[in-house]
This record gives sequence, structure tokens and C-alpha cells, in this order.
Amino acid sequence: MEAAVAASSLRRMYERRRKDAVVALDDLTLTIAQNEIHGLLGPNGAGKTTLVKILSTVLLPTSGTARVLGHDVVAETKAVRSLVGLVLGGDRGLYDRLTARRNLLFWGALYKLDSRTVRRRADALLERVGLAERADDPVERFSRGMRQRLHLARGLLHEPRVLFLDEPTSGLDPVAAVAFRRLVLELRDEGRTFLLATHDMDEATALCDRVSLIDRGRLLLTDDTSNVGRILGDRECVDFVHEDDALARDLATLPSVLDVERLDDRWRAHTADREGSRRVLAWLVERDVLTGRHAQPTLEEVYLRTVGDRGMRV
Amino acid sequence: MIHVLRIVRQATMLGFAEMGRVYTWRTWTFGWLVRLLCQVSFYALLGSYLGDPGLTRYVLVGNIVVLACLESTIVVISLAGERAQGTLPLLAVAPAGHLPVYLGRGVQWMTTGLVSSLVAWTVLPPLLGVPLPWPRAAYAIPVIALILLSSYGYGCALAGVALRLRGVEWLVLNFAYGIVMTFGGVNVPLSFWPAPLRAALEFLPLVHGLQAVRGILDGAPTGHVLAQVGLEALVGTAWYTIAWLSMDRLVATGRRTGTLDHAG
Amino acid sequence: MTHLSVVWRAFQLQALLSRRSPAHLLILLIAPMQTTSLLAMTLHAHRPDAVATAVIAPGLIGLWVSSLDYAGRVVPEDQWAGRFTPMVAAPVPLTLVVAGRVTAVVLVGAMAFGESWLVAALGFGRVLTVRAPGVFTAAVLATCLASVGTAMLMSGVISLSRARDVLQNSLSYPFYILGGIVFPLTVLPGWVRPLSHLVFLSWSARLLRDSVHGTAHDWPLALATILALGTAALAGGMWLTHRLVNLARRKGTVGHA
Repeated sequence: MEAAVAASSLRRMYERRRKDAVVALDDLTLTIAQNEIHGLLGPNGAGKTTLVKILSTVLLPTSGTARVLGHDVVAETKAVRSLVGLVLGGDRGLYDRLTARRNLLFWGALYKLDSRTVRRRADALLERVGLAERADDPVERFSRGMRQRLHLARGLLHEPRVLFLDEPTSGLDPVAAVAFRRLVLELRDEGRTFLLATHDMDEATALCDRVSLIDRGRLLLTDDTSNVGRILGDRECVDFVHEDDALARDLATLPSVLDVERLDDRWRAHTADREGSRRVLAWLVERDVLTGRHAQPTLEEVYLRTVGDRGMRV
Repeated sequence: MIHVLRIVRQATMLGFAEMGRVYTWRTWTFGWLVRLLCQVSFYALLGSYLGDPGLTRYVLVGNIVVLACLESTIVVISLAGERAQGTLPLLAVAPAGHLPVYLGRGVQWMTTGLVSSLVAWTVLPPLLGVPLPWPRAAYAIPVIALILLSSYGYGCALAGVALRLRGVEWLVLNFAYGIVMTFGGVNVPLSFWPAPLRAALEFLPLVHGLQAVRGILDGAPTGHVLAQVGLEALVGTAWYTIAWLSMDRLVATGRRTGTLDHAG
Repeated sequence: MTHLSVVWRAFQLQALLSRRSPAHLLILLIAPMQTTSLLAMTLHAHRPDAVATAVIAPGLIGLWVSSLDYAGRVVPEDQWAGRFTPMVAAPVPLTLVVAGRVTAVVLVGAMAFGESWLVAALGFGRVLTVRAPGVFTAAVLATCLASVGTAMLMSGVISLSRARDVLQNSLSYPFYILGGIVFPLTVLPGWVRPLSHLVFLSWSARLLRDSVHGTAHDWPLALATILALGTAALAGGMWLTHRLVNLARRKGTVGHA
């Protein structure tokens, strides 16, 4: 089966006035299978949005190629456009003074749908994203979450096979975010493919079949979400909470322990294998430390390790 | 083609909806329309202070017809709004393309332009003591409609400028309209201006249409009137072409440089 | 911070904003075109005696438009962009901030006087000489002050109104007519004239024209009237701004447009 997205050696530079050009994407190669939910993770300015824009034909690559369902995004723009849906996060991109329904009818015309189809789909989508009751309110009265949902409905109007979502849940409250994720999963069951740019690790863990980490325009890794934890060196670990530094130092001397590190609120002992973890847990229990827990690195930890903890800097 | 028409229709409804958020029919009539009528009267009263009823009528006719141009060029603001609202990249990737949207985006201004110039055309001349020769004055109405259309193309072309530089849409609108108002033969004949400037004025919308309107009122030969109408149509077409090329380039360049979605 | 320095800071802020935001400089674009239009009409009609009118009017329009622009754009933009809330919460009275900013805007408008003089001199070779420069300068200053007051009043009215865009667009030409800024009030029908006397523009326009021609014999009365009308507007505007803040706090609409 043809790949939903196949990007090869994509590179994108931004020229700047009186300054060196910025490399937003650097030699990025990525394949996304059909019917996959693929997470694109990275800090602000990593190149996530640039990639989404190139794949949705909003932006031209400086070099390299990208295909969506076999169609080149530069040469076969028209074919690509009717196959993909673009959902940009944030407050913009809607006609504030129009009602939700009118917005959809407008975009339906731009996607060359006939009136009856647009009407039918607009009603169904508004129902589906939970905006049916507010369908005839002007968008300017919508909360951020409602706007995001309308963005999604807009992106789904022409029933695209591939959807590009750029930070779709930023600023959503937890309940709305969960509903949003459920909807994405439903849509995947209908056979759609998703590329989801986000920096919400929980979201990526909950939704994505596979994830790619990018930083400074480079692809750091791509793997199954469940495998990502192993990337940190296939290591096992045991987390525990204890006040005493001396205990941690003692633990570090055990032969089965590779090293012990201090995390924010707990300690983590890295072990070579499952057996090592078992010994560490037993050792802790002997010393009356009952908070020990077998752990695997989470996506968030992988992210922080790979991208580096840059704090607020981007 | 049918798609283009549907998009224009949707864009038109969008335009009216946006207008409806600003105006109710009451505030439009007693706010905007009264203001336009006052604008016309302001110049006409100056005309009556400076000269004879002939001058008053000259200025009055010019200022009524220029309302058509004024309202049509407001499309600059509507189009610049696309960038501010962040819809430009989404329009660019829609299969139908962005061009038909521009055609419909300011139709509401053409409609109100037609209404306000027609109200002024019928109400103001008798009020200011310089009645128009009816029924001949009615023949000028289609020409006013043509001026609305050609000015709309002019507005779309200038919107290309407003979309490229940020936050200048009001400057562009006032400049676009101000040039026509000042030099287009509205208050003084074109012959008042030095020859090189006069040559450039031929390319402005309204200029030929207004001459046709004056010709109709003065009972000029049909040939002269039709020639001016033809020139007005030609000028309008040229502006539409410029608008089309300019918008197409804007999106093409935006895709290359990544500047499509900058906030306005 | 003393009250005066608040006003000064607000003035500086607005000057910076106006320099950066082209929309605020609209007046400087309109004035030369308007001068050209009016002068062309005057010269075409062979009325050299009305040249002064054609040069002064764009200056007055500039002041009026800038007051309206401030009132109709700056204040609502603050509300829309959520800057109104912190301003209300700040320990200094909002009125002072408004006064400082509106002064900056009005001074930009006053530059229209210089522009239209230049257009007449350079574009048409008509150098306007002022017979009574002292009175003229006093008249311009008084007019600026009256504009600040009027802008305060209008920003209050427009903020309270639900049709602010409409108001901002509509309060221009009707007042140019009422203010007789391009023709003597005698051109207007008799029933309109009493209304004209309530608009400071009518007093300013006449005083400015008379000072150019050296016929401003009753200038103290005219100056006093301009200042009195300006002060009345200012007082009304301050009262409305105060009311607006209280209303916003009571109804919880602070920050909403």
C-alpha cells in the first residue's frame, strides 16, 4: 500500500533581512503509513509547523521531495489539496463575524462541494464536534476550545484522507481535549491518516501509533510510541522516593545498578535487566523503603533527554 | 464556472454578514448614508459659495458619482481582513483557489455604493437648488453601475498592496480613493491639471465614466458618451487583470517565502 | 508618579504607537490631497480671496479627524486587545492616561496645518501670509485644546455607543458643514446656524480666516468661546470616562469590546 506521506530529504530555509538564513527543516526523511496516527513532537520552532505547511502545499520546500498518497506536493498541488485537510491551531483562520454553520458553508464552496452535500456534511460535522447547539452563533462568541473544534470540522468538510493537525488541542481544557482525542480515534477508524504536530506528550502517548521527534529542523527519531521508551538504551529502571542521599549512594554500589539519578521528586535507579530491577526492589524493601516502583521511561522523559531540557528557551 | 459563482455567492454572503455586524439598516441610513450625503453637500456648498449654479451642479454631479468609487474601493479593507484573520493560507490550499473569493468579498460595498449614489442622485440636486434634467438623468444610472464595477477592480488591485504591507489598508484605501477624488475630474475639469498628470489620469477608474455622465446630462452626442463608457470598461478590465496577477503572485510568493499567514 | 508625569508618559506611549502604526498617520496623507482638491476648486473658480479658506480647512479637518480617530480607534483597540482591564486596575486615573494619549494624537492632526501650507506654496505657488500671526497662533493653540476636549467627549460617547464604527465614520462631514470650515455660515440655511455656534470648529474657522486677512477684530471673544466649548467638552468627556469605568466595573464588562 502506498504511504500516506513520504517525505525525502526535505529542507526548508527562511531568508531573513540582514541576517543569515534560518534552516527550519534540515534533510528530513519521514514515511507515514495509511491509517496511522503519527505524532510530530518537538519544542517551539523545531520545524513542526513548517513540515505541516509543506505537506499541505501552503509552503514550498527549498529542496527535497514530499508525496501525499503518491502525489508530489509541489508538482501535483491540485491532487494533494483535495486529499488533505489542514487544521491549524489557534484563534485565527475563521471568519469571526460569521456563524459556525456559515463558515462551513463558505469553505464547502471553496472545496467545490455542491450545496446539498455541504449542508448535510456541515450539520453532521457540527453535531460530531459538539457544536450543533451553537451552529448559528457568530464565531466571535466562541471559546478557544469551540474554535478548535470548528477548525477540525472545517478540515473534515471535504472528507480528506490525510489530516494535518497543528497543535489542535493547545489551550483546550482537559475535558475538551479528551473529547477531541476520542474524535481523532474515531476518524482513524474510518480509515483516515493523521499527522499531529504537538508538544503535549500525554496527547501523543494517548493517540499516536508512531511518533517522530524533531528539533532544530532535524529528525531525531521515529518509532512506535510504545517502543520509544526503549530508545534511552533499552534500560530498565526503578523509581523510589526517599529523603536520604546516603541510601541512594549505597544503592549505586550494588553490582546490578548502573547508576542512580535524582529526578524532580524521586530517585531513579537504572538497571541492566529485569532481574536487576527485581534485586533493587528487594533491596529497597529490606531497608523499609516501600515506595519503589518498576518503571520505564515515558515519552516525556525521552523527549526531554533527546531534545534536552531547554527550559523556556526555544 | 458554476463553482466560481457559488464561491462568489458565499463570499458575498460573508461580506454582508460582516457588514451586518457593523451596521443595522438604521445606523447605515442615519449614520453612513447621511455622512455621504453631507460629504457631497459639503463640496456642493463650497461650489455655490465660490461660483454660479453651473459650478455647483458640476461639483454636485462629480461628488455624487464619486460615491460609487468610494464605496467600491472599500473592498481593500475586506480583502486585507483575510490576512488579519489568518485565512489566507487556508484559502490558498483550497482546490478552488483564492481568486473567486476576492471577487465576492466586497460585493456588499458595491451594493451599498449603488444605493447611496442613487439616493444622492435623486435627493440632493433639488435640495441644493440645482435639479438634474430628468429623464435624461436616468440614463446616467447604468454608467454609475459601470463605475462601481471598474472601481471594484481598482480596489482589488490595490488590496494586493495592502495585503503585502501590513496594517496599511486604511492608508491604501484613502490614497486610492483620494487620488480619484482629487484629480479624477470630480471638482475641477481634467484640463485644470498639467498635461503629464492628465495623461496618467486616463488610467484611473471613474474618470471616463464621469465624463460620460456629464455628457449625458449636457446632451452630448451619443458617440462621445459611448466612447467614454467603452474607455471606462477598458480601464476597469485592466484593473481586474492587475488584481488577478497581483493576487496570484502574492500567493505564489507567499508559498515560497512562507509569509502567507503573517498577522495583519 | 505625579499626575503630570502620567500624562507625559501616556503622551510618549501614543507618540511611539502613532509612529509605528501607519493607520494613525492617515491624517497626514489626507490633508495634502484635501488641500489640493479645495485649492483647485478655488483657483478654478477664480476666487483668490478664498485661498486662505482652502489652506486652513484641511488643518481643521486634520484636527477633527485625529480626535475622532483617537476616540473611535484607540480606545476600542485598547478594549479589544485587553489592555483596558490593566489600565482600569492601575492606580492612576484612566482620565490622565487618556488625556496624554489624546494630546499626542491631536498634535499629529495639527501637523496638517503645516502640510496644507506647504502644498499651497510648493504645489500651487500660493504662499499664504498671515496678517495677524499672534492671533493666528493663539487660535491654532486654542483649537488644539478644544480638539483634545472634544476627543475626550467623543471617546466617551463612542465607547458607550453600540454602533461605534458607524459613529466614527459619520461624525466627520456633518460637522465640517456645521463648522463652516470651507464657507461662511451664511451659505447655510438660517435654521442650521444656531447649531453651528455650538461647534467650536465654526469659531475656529472664522477666527483663523480673519487672522490671515487681518480682520479679526473680535478675537478675544472668539478665543474665549473656542476655549469654553473645548472645556465643556472636556468636562463632559471626563465625566463619561469615569462613568464608563464604573459601569464596566459594575457590569463586569471591563475588557470586553
